Amino acid sequence: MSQLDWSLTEERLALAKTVLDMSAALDDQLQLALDESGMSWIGIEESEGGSGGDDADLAIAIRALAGQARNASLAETAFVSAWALRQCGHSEASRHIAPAFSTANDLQAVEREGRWWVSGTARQVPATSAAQLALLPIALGDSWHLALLPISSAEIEEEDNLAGEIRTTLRFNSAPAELMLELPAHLNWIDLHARLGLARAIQISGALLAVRDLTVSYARTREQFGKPIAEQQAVAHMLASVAEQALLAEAAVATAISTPGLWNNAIAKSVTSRAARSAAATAHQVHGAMGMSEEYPLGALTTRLWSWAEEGGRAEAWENWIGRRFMEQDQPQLWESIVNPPESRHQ
Amino acid sequence: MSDITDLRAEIRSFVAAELAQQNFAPHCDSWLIGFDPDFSARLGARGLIGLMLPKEFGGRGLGVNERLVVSEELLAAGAPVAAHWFAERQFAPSVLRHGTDAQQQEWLPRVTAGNAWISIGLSEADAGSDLAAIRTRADKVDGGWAITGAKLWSSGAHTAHAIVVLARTGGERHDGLTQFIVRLPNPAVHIRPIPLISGEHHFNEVAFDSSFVPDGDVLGPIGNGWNQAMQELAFERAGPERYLSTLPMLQALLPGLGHSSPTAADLGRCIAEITSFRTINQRVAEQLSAGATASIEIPLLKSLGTSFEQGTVQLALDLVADASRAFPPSDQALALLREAQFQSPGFTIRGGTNEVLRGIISKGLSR
Ligand SMILES: Cc1cc2nc3c(=O)[nH]c(=O)nc-3n(C[C@H](O)[C@H](O)[C@H](O)COP(=O)(O)OP(=O)(O)OC[C@H]3O[C@@H](n4cnc5c(N)ncnc54)[C@H](O)[C@@H]3O)c2cc1C
Repeated sequence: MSQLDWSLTEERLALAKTVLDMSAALDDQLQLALDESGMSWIGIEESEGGSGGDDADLAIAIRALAGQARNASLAETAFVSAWALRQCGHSEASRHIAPAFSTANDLQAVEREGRWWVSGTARQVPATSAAQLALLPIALGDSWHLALLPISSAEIEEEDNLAGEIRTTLRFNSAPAELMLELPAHLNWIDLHARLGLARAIQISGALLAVRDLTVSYARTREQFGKPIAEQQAVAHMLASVAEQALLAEAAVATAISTPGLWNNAIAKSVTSRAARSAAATAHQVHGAMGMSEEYPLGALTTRLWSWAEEGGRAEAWENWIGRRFMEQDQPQLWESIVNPPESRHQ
Repeated sequence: MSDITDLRAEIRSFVAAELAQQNFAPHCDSWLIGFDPDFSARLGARGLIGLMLPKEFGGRGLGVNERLVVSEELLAAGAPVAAHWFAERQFAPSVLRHGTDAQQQEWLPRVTAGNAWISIGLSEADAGSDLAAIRTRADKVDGGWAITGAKLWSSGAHTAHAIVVLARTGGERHDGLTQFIVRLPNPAVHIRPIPLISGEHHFNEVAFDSSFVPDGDVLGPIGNGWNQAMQELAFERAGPERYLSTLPMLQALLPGLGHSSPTAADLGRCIAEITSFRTINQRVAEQLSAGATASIEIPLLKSLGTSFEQGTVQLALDLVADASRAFPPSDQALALLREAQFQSPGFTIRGGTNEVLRGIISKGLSR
């Protein structure tokens, strides 16, 4: 099996093209169009009101949107929240749900009069403008639960990331949950966080492909000293470096999509986050002052790369997690852990 | 030596008083984005701008090392020096060396008073690294020159009293270029903002359409523009703004860091590198004041320093995420990090890209 072929079926290419056409044609109506075309419900069974399809289909759509630097919430709602609900045997195919999986929180829930009441703060919650509900991970005793609450039941504080995407702090003060679902025993907060990390990794890989193409085409058309700057060896090396990082990111995502699990999610997020840092800097360097102009499309991509690299766990955090998970094995073996990740052996 | 010590004490007490009165909040890249005419005026009133200029123009007639002390103290504090920075750094030395008596009488006292805000009109759409490709031209007309063309990325042109325009008066490539002091605002000059990726407005497109400039505003001999621009670029590249742009951010992030922080070694490296950059800077400043603008240590310092600055942004992100922090970074520190991250791509581009500088360095090494 070639892991890099995951994206290349005819249907998926057609899907990517549909997303591209939609996002090119629509501005503030994009979210609505994604909803109405069923794009927003990919990954949810048709029998449950969804559009069917799997993670790879979703990843293709998310990647295409990210390459257009668009703020639609597919990555957060369909890829992260719907997946988390699915782990609990639940699905929602009409309302958008914002996953509060960005940072560890201090959320608590108490049961009273047959309902669960939630208090505490969730930070850096994405997709709160598209979503009506928030999905909050809460530890109860030995097991993790997901509480579903209307966003409107929280005190809301909005902040922009570097790309102007809204990240919200939600403060709940004894707000009633619409639902309280128990996660299966093998899942906990880190799995939810890693799923968000994988969503960001997919977005990074999409943005990196776009950055690569934009940078190559700029370098081939921009002339200085009587020839395209791409013909300067220093520039040619920078282009190659951006291409290296884009490929690395894409491969790490492909691995995580085709062989799902915490270990590969951690790898995807750490590899893509480093690639994002490196390629954003190099692409800017190739563009000279032009890349710093808001009117030129590079900045919309690189500011996203900067933000996404830090969100859903940064490179160092996941590298640290992988390293610890590796070292805590009895007599850790490097090669064996690469071929058979410790996680897959335990499950 | 004691002069230097006294001067450092003087500038520090000025900065401390300004901070105490909350006259400014520290910023990254404050020499480019910290535009505060009142601050510049107060600094000028204390005789702390243009220290190297002769006393008759309001300067102190001091040497390069004295100027360096004042510059580095202001930058390290993140003080808002953008209004007068270009004027002091490159315009004043150029006017002193190439300007007419009338130009010196008019401009130099204004520079030392902090009341000359100058923009640099070198780059154009098709002339970035390849500066000799500029096409903006000046045609001789009665009593002056008519300038036609457009400058790009002109920092601060929208607030400046004048932009120094390098334009073609004949010849090709490096020959036949001349510098003009074009007064602003000017009904014959059109300034269009170019918002940065942060959304902020610092640089501009400046368009000229047969814009008249009187003979009295030609800077230096006709056809000497390239040499003058190269001298200015040497001043532009050889200062502490090439390694201190992000220092206020690093300082603001320190509170709350654990002593056993894994990033202590990174901070140690910052200190070690900045210390070395200062030594190089003192050396190139002396070379510059002796007139040696072609020193390869100037591009070496700029390329080393600006790469370092970019690295500090990554370090800052690490410091923010440092799990051993006793308490989270302040809102002000986070705002400085955001500011630095938005500015960071420009560090290794403005004033000559690192690739071009390295080309100059390697040519210089094989001479
Ligand atoms: C924040 C900021 C402020 C600025 N302020 C001013 C200002 O006030 N006044 C002003 O006149 N200009 C200003 N500039 C413009 C600056 O001087 C130019 O950006 C710079 O000279 C590079 O030119 P360019 O942007 O056109 O890039 P290009 O010259 O197009 O370079 C693009 C890429 O090609 C590479 N390259 C080009 N030629 C070669 C070569 N021969 N060998 C190897 N690599 C090469 C470059 O290194 C770069 O990576 C500013 C720029 C910035 C970013």
